[in-house]
Amino acid sequence: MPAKLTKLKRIIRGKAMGDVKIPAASEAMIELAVLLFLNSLAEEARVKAFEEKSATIRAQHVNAVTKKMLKRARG
Amino acid sequence: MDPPDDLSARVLLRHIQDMEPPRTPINSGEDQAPSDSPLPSGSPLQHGRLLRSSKTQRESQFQSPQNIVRRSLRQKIHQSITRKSLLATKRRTPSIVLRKHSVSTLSPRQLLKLIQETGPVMSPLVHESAPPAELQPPSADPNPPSLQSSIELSGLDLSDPSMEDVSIQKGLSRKRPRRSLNVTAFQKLLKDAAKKRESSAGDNSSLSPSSSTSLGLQSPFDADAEKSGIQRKVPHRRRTSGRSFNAAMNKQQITDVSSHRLSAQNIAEDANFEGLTLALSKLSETDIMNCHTTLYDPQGAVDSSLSVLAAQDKPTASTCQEETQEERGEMAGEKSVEVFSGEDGAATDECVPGSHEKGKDDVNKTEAEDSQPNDDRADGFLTFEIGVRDESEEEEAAVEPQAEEGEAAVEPQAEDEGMDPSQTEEEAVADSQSEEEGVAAGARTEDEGESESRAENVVVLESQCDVEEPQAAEDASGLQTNDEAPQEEEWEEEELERDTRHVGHRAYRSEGGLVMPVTEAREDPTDAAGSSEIGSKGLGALGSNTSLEASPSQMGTPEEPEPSLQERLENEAVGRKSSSFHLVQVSHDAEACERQSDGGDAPAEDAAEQQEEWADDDDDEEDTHYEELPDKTPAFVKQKRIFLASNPPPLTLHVENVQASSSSEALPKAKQKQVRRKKTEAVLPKTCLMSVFKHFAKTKVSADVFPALNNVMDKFLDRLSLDLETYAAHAKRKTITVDDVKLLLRRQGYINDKMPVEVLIEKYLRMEQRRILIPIATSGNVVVPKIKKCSPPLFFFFLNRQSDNFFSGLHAKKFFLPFYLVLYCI
Repeated sequence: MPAKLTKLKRIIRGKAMGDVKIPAASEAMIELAVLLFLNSLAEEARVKAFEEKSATIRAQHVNAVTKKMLKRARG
Repeated sequence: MDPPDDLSARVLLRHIQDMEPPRTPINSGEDQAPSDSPLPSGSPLQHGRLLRSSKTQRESQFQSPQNIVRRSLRQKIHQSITRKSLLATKRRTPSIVLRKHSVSTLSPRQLLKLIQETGPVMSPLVHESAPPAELQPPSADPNPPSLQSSIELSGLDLSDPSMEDVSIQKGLSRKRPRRSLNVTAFQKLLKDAAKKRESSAGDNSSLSPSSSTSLGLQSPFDADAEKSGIQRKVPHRRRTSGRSFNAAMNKQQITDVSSHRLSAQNIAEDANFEGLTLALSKLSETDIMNCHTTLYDPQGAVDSSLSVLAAQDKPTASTCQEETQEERGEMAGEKSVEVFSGEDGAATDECVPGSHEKGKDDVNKTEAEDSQPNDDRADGFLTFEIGVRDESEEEEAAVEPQAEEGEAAVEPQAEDEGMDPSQTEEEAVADSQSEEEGVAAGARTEDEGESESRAENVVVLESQCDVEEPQAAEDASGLQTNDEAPQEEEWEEEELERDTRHVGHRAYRSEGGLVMPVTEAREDPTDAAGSSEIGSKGLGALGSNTSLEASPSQMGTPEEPEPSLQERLENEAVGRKSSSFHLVQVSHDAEACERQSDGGDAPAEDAAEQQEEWADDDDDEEDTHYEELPDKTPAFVKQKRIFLASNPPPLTLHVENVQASSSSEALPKAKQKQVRRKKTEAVLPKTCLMSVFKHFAKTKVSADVFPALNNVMDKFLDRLSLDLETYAAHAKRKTITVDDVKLLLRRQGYINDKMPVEVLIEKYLRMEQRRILIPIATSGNVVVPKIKKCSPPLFFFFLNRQSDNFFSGLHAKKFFLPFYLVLYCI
């Protein structure tokens, strides 16, 4: 990916309830999970924008697909 | 023979055809023969011979059209020559010619000549309007054509059908020669025209002949129509009488003035909120009633000087108060009303912290303008100041010796009544009546205050000169509570500690509305020199009274803030002439200031709020406090004190947030800011998130998706972390392993039998991450990363599992085959 997803580890640790350790491999895997989610989200948003005959993905498109994606991404 | 070239053959032919009965070559000879030939008509034979001969001649040479034309022309020329010889003496007008000779007898050439001689060139455009107009007048009106306005009649229908035909023809056709004449109509026209020509000899010769002789080109009165057409009259111009015009102008002026005043009033009303609005509106009304405007002020002579003063220092409030005392019985009410109105007006006029000069101009403008509310306020302010000036000197002289005498005695009173005068002051602002009282009360209090604490004020002013601005803000906000002496002390200390925070204009604005007038009143009474004198006095007092400042306890806690406020105000007046006016304006019209200025200062708002509160309080306490003896401390000082005491903490936020936003109050503002900060923090770095999203989107992504994206990611990561933690906890671990995440991915549906995780890893992750996750066999049979040694059965299992999937099996073989071999070798 063009950019590292920095501070992921810190975010996860911040959101976790107890003290959790996150080794580097796990962090990589978590990054993979995030990327996968973003990929699917972007794709859905793109489809939505295309439905509305817009070449640009806008916030409204993203909002429209947000709920669906989050539901899908339940563990 | 005349060559036919000079006359177009077509034209002539047409004329001939139209006018003359159809002739055959045979007939033509018969017509012409009797006139031309000298032969005795009696001899039919000869006639017949002639005819025959002529006929034969003609028949022999069969006529070409040209020849026919030529013959006709010749004949006509002969005729015309004979006629001309007869009529040589008489002036040949077309009418005469036509009269004598019917149209039919006239040769086309003759007609054409007449036309050319007499008819002016007419444009096709004129025809349309002219002909109907001109046609009717001859038929309808016997008036001479020159007097008729053809344009006005252009729309009228022609009663005469014959005229209509001609007019229609004339109106429609553009090509003159091609018109077909209605001979009878034309003859009628000619006759009429001839009659009129005879009757009016002085008519335009150019017009009449042309009109009369015009054929298809013109009607008899085309000339008139043409002339009128050229003249370019307004078709239906309303002629307004002088009266109506004047009336309209008056109406307009009235509406303008009223609208202007209304707007001014609206501004004034808007600027003066809630409690203030009432007062100011009332003020304006009363002022109007009493004719206390700039123009009608009995003390008109003073206005000029006031204008000078008004623009100057702020702390005239004290002087105002002083003088209001003396004015009680007299003009006090009026003046105070005017003063406050003037102050308000001044404030309303400008909230922008303009320059001192600007303030001056504004004041002058307010004076000059007829917008009553503003004028009233400005005037009131000015008059108040003047009155203050006149009396302040006296008061000062009287007060100074008393300064140290009645301080102690007055202090308790001042404490008790600290709020009252301040409230009364506000009352004065709020209500016209209460204003007078408040002013009087304030004046009283001011006297006492002056007597007690001139020195103190001076001292404090000097010390807090710089702090005044923030203090002003503080004062504005803090003038709401009563009896906060200890707080006041603390506040004073704070003020002393704080150095010029550049609240600048805002500080000025923040000052209570009454404070400013009071302060300004103090200085306004004197001229520029006078104010400077006061300032110098203040400074001198400061210098002399530094010792006093050092011992704040002497004067008692309540006194300190009051004198300090007073002195501060005075110093303000002295030191900041330029901003004094702004202060007044700002203080009064905090709301207006906010509206006008983009920032909308919190202190100004606070000041406005204070004023509102004062007004509210004042309304309640009008009667009770009116008769109370005024404190030493002026009302504004007490109010300031109260304000400061009540809101010391928000002041910091005020100062901080002054530039930030324009919220209503200090405390909520601060809270909001903190809350806002939390929300706006992003979960992931914006650039990272957006770049990744854009990469995956593969289409244009607008920048406004970031907030939505942020929210989504926030929620996703929340769930992610929760799930991972749960999985690890289920495995009784505190470490989130790769397996946990793999399980998560499987549950999410990204990984299944068909899609191994390694594929995804290879697809999405960077090399370093991939290297961590997927072991790679390197040279020397070194696998990176190290695979943790597990029991062989498990190892097999692991291998087998991976080999189930063909793809993964291949993958496994790649990596694990050497291990397998190695292990089994061992």
